[in-house]
Amino acid sequence: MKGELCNSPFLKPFFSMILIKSNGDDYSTTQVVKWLKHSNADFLRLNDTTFLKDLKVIGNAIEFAHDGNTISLGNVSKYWYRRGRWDTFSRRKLRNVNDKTFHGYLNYFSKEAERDITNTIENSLADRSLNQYQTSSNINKLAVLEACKTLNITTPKTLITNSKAVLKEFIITHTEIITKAVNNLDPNIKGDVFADLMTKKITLENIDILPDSFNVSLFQNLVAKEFEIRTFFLVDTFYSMAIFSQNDDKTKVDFRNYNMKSPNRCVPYQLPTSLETKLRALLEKFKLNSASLDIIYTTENEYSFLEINPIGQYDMVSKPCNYFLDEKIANYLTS
Amino acid sequence: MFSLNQDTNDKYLMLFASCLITKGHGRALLTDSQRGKFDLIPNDMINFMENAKLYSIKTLFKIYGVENKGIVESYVSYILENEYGFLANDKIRTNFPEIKIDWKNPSIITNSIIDIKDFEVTKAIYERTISQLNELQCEAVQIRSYISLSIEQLEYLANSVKLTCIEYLEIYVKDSDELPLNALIKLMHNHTKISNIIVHAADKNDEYDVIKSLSSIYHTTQVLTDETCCGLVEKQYFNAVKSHYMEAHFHNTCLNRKVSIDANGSIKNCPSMATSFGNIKETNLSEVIKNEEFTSIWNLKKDFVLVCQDCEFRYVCTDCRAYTEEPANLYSKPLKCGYDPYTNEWSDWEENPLKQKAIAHYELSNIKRTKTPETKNITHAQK
Repeated sequence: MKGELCNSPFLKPFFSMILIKSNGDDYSTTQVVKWLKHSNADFLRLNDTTFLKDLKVIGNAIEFAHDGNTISLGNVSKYWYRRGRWDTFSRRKLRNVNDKTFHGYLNYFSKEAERDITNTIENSLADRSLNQYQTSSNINKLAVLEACKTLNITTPKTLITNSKAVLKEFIITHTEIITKAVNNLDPNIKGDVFADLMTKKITLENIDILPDSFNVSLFQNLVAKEFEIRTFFLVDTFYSMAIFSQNDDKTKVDFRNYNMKSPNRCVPYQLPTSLETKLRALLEKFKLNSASLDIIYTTENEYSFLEINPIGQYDMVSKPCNYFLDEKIANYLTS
Repeated sequence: MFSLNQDTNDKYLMLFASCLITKGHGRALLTDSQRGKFDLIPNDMINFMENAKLYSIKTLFKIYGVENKGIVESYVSYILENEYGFLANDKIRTNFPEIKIDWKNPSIITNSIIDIKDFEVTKAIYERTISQLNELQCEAVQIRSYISLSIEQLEYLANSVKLTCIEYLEIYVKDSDELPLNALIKLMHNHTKISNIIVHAADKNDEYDVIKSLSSIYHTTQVLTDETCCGLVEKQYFNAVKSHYMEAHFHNTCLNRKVSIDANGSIKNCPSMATSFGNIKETNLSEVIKNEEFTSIWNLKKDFVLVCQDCEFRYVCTDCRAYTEEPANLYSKPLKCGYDPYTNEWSDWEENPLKQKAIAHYELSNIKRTKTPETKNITHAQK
């Protein structure tokens, strides 16, 4: 980090800095940092392993020490929450606690404390943030689906249940259904057949072997897709990409030399303005000014919204579409 | 073969945006920049694809008439079967914008070549060079040793890049008993930044994947004697990957953002070029890159090069500015290219009577028959 204080007695020392919260191994952060260096911007990258030393929170004034410097959040010009958590409580020290029950308590309360302090830190940066931990780390999928209904955004038919009978009825109505995690951290139907974070297709046979009552899980009808859309939203712009993972037209014209090894076709895509407007409202509702969104373009020529991922890998959109999103993020941070 | 039916009648044939056509004098190149492949197509097909943007499949058949039905069928089949394109209905076809032809990179220097003829000479300047390259955010370094090195010496070269932003280190080294395969494998496992090791003057040709699709060891019987071995323009070196294809529209794909240190420590655009911009011993790279004389060649793109500007391969070509057909002309075609875009034929450049003067000028005649091993293009090998 460079940052030279102005020595002129007539000018107030001016020092402003971009603050980045990420993981040490995040490729995209490293790329953005290269652009920041390119434009000689001052920045501080805090990784998961960076413990906030000498943290001082007095009202709005928040300070901590880093590399022998005092970092005052009042001097932060932009804050980018990319990944990872704020290490304010140094949970590493808990490793030395041998009593399991006591360790569990300490862990729980230190997490709670860490969350509250993180919120306080981020609230002080609210007017100059590109995403925040508090809004990005725990998206409630059910709340998102509910908001879609209000905003008139089409989603797959969704069922949340813990009952075998209800689930059976759902699969009979929709023929093909999938299950996915209700929450990013909670595997659904624990201890049974589909304990997996990924989206999985479910058959009637799968359901038959379930107990009458199981852990509450999320189910959706499987939407027949023409292609998928992954879009990256940055401040006010959607950068979209169509992914041809299953091209019906091709099978219709009878492909002779279909190469299964070739990667899916990923090409730039422009979402209709009407949909972008609705999605913008959705993101605003969840206080996100950056996120990746998954959408399906159905064989019925409709857009079906799947989910929001605030910390998604935008590079998989940027590279194939030549969008240079790393530079665009850096430009926003230096603006 | 494609034939019209109810499902396809009203649809439009579209190229995937990453599949880009380059018109040449006699034929065109379809570059699949997503999958890094290319294919030759007739220039007529360019027109056809332009029409396909305007008219549905059914109308296309009508426009081209019964007499051309076979050709239209074969064009449509070709595009679909090779997955260069798809059929879109009228409702969404305008939602597929073209890819923006653009190239950007935050690094001041993206790639560098360091030549070695005497290890002690290189050792005296190596760490200084690497640290300066690091300051310039260099991504890829290629070391070309015309002599054999020990494992300890290779270890030394790799160690110095460890804590830098250099992500890819490619090493050419002359074969010797000191470099058994297992020792090289161990070296690469310890130094994951080494993307490739190419052992030249070996007694056999082979290829060994150290980490699948990430790092390999190549053995080649070909001998690298000195920097005059470089500069071959051949189909096998062409690079159809998107970043290269895009860069070629604005810059010289061999020299852009490159800085080279020749075996004596001279700072050059390329070790094969005559002009030196000082010795790394006393000159800073950051000073050299401020010199417009040094950087102006970065922008000498293929569209400016005589003959090449009419060639369908111009955006996948690697170019060479060190050896040109007319040594005094900056815009002259690479000497070591045997392709003629006007006849669409490849021939042996060394046998070309028109090139003998230039071959003599560069004193290439004595090494004419030595070919370089296939250069893995590490510059843009973004993994």
